[in-house]
Amino acid sequence: MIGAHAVAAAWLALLALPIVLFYFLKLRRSRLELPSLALWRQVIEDRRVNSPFQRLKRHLLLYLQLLMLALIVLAAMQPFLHSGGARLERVPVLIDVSASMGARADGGATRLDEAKKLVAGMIDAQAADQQLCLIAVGRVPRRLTGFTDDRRELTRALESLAPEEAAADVAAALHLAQAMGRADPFQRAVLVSDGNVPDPIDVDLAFRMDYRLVGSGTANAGITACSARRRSDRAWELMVAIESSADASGAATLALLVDGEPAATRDLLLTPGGADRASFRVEGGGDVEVRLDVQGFDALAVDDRAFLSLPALKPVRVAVAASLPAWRKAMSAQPDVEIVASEPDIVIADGITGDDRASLRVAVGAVPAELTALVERGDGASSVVDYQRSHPLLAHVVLDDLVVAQRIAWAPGIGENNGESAAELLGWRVLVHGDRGPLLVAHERAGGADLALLFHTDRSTLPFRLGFPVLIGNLVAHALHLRGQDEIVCAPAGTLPALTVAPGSEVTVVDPDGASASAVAGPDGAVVGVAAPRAGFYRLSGAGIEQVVGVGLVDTRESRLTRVDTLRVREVAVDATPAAPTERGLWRALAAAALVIALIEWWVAHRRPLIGNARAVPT
Amino acid sequence: MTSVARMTTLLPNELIARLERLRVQALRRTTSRGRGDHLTGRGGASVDFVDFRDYAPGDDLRFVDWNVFSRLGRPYLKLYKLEEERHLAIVVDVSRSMRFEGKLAKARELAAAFAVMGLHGDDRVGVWAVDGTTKDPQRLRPARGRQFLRRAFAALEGVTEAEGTVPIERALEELLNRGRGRGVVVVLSDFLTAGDLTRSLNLVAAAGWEPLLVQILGASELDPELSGDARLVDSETGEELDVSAAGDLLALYHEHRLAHQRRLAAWCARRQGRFVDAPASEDTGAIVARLRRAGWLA
Repeated sequence: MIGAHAVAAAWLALLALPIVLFYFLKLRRSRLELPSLALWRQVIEDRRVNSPFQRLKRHLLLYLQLLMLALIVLAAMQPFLHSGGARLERVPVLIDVSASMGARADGGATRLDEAKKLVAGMIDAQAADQQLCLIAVGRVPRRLTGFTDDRRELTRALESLAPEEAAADVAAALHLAQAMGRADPFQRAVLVSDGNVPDPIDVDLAFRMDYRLVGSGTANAGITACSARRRSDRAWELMVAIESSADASGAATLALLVDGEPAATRDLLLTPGGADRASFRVEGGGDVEVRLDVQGFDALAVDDRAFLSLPALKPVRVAVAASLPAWRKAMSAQPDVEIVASEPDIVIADGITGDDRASLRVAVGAVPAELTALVERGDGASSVVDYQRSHPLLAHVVLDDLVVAQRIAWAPGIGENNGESAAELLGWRVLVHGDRGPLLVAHERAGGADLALLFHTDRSTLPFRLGFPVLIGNLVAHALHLRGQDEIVCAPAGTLPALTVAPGSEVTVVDPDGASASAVAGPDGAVVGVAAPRAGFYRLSGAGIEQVVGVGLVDTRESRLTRVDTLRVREVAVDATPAAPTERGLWRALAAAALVIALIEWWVAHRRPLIGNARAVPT
Repeated sequence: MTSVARMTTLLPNELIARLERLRVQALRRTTSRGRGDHLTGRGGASVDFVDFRDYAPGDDLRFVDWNVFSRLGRPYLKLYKLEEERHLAIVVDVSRSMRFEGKLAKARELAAAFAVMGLHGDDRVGVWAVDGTTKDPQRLRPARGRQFLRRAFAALEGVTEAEGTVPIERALEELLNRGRGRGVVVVLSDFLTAGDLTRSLNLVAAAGWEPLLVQILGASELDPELSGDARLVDSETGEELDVSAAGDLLALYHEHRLAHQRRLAAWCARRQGRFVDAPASEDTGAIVARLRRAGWLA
């Protein structure tokens, strides 16, 4: 469908009148004197008789000028080709700025460049009563402009876009657009992406979606996972996953740098769409950087690095009360455990201890002060009814036939459900349910956890069961976990993992570029939402912590450059449409045609009518 | 080394020497009453026998064939061809169209060539250049004998400007009005006129002149290189003609030019005349040689 934005410009067609007038007033031909026109007169007469169009041909210049005017008038009317239905008033344009949009094609332009070009075309073809709103779909969706028809503002916002080093949250962007639609209703939105989006996207759309794909398949390989696990021999085992896009192949080298010094390398052979694994042994700790060097074309550079900060390994210090010989014996049999009396990582006592420095405090045969009103103990027996098998502390621990010669029950008047809910409100979670009340409860606190066995192990068969040393082992692993010494994972770029500190305390974050920012812990002591847009080391300090977090892209979808041709949003499927603007402006083509006509007209007007054997006479 | 002075600027001496041995060959015997060297169809006093006739009283006894009288006993008179003088009128077109591309110069050279042949051939040669301004367009009054050669050259050398306003058809009519005698008329022109050329030529032929038409054309007429839009101006009348895409018209122009030449040649064939085209760029000697091969000269 063809339309025009400035129909009033059609009045410019009246300029044809002065053009015709001036043409005939100022018709200028080269005057050439010939000996006689006798023959030429016959020729012209003959031509007029035989060619009815000769009269038209005589005024070729005039027709060229009129054609040029027509093209200029048409261009001024700003005609457009509308590829869709009726024109909309407001159109949010969501532009994917995820890391994969930085992938370069062979020609050197990124997918985001292509997307910018596409959106620039939409801005150029914007109707006078049409408003666009640009939204950057990145780690955190950002509204770049409001609904506006100011092309300069839109263009400026578009030019400011750069690919992020993180995956995009498309669902959040759609939610943002949806929220904008409540204030400024619209019927249709446009998503410009390389197709590297979740499938499906868990969001309900209240508007129609145009899905525009940019970019094409290209070769890329990147690090999609990087983590370190503590080995029993006081060393870290670093594991790296490398995945390739469907077009990638060839050799690659994985290099390990510890504190900036090369430590080891691995040669890899990439296969199209394949995945590779490599592991390194890292003695001690340090800031570890893993680099992937692909021999050949690699579309994305940001996924070729991953960062980890590995702490120095120390034995787990455990303090066990003398009244608990079974615990002491079981704990001393654990590898890399040191029984100490002071500064322990784990405290195992037959009562509630107040040592906050310990990561894990285990109270045996004691009821936490918060629960004394909920639980009562007495003579009798208790049996295990259910327990949280998925909890790390109870992994592989079988308690089915545990015999407890102690009656642990919810206080009178408090039922099973009410008691558990009340305990959770107080911060305690029931891990083992007895037939009358809780047998094992756990509590998460800042910098650690508390575990309370409400029965004494001496009055149960627990120390004699196979699960007891397993439980001890789980305690040690959990303590290491709480100290951050069991497994270190390269955090995906975007936001840093949540950190628990004292409520309300301030944490300073220094990013890889050296810029610092501060974050304040919430009432629960959690520091969340700290931005980590770039790969590298983020150093957190303050509130009694000194921590370094390694961040990398580590995203399979981004590195594989997967492409979703059909956007599935809940039950709606949106097929990608060719990357063409809704309204294709024609004025450029018309103006170019007018320029060509002008050149032709100039050539026709200035070409020498007679060459060589006749003479021009002054006019 | 000695150099021989040129007799005229119009022709080299060598060509003049060659021309002196040539005569203009007429297709028909068109002579004047005056006594001359050209045989007529009528009886005369030449040495060429024609016929016998009966003697009539008063006839010159010198022409009685006495041998026949002795055999037959009756006097018969021997008749001989009559030799009369022939006019050779050379008409040079001096209209403005002749000033282009050496057309007038070529016409003067050819006129001089014909004058040489005529004066050496005992023709009564007259040169006409009708420009509409000169009172007497007859630049050389009919003269006979080679002693008038220099005067003929001088008359032609005096025709330097082609600024005449009289078209060729009117120039021929002027010849008929002022001229006397009969013979051969050599017309040196481009014959590019909007007037009725046929009528004038018919009058000339009817007046006893045998027309020899030499069309002299310049390069811009033989092979014009015209293209684009132009306003063409007629050099004689000042009329203007606008042409567009003139390059497309060239083929048509050539058709018309050739048709014009064919018309002139056909007319000459009907009137026992002759037509030849002579490009202005062609050497005069070459044109003379061509005319000789065509039987114009002998």
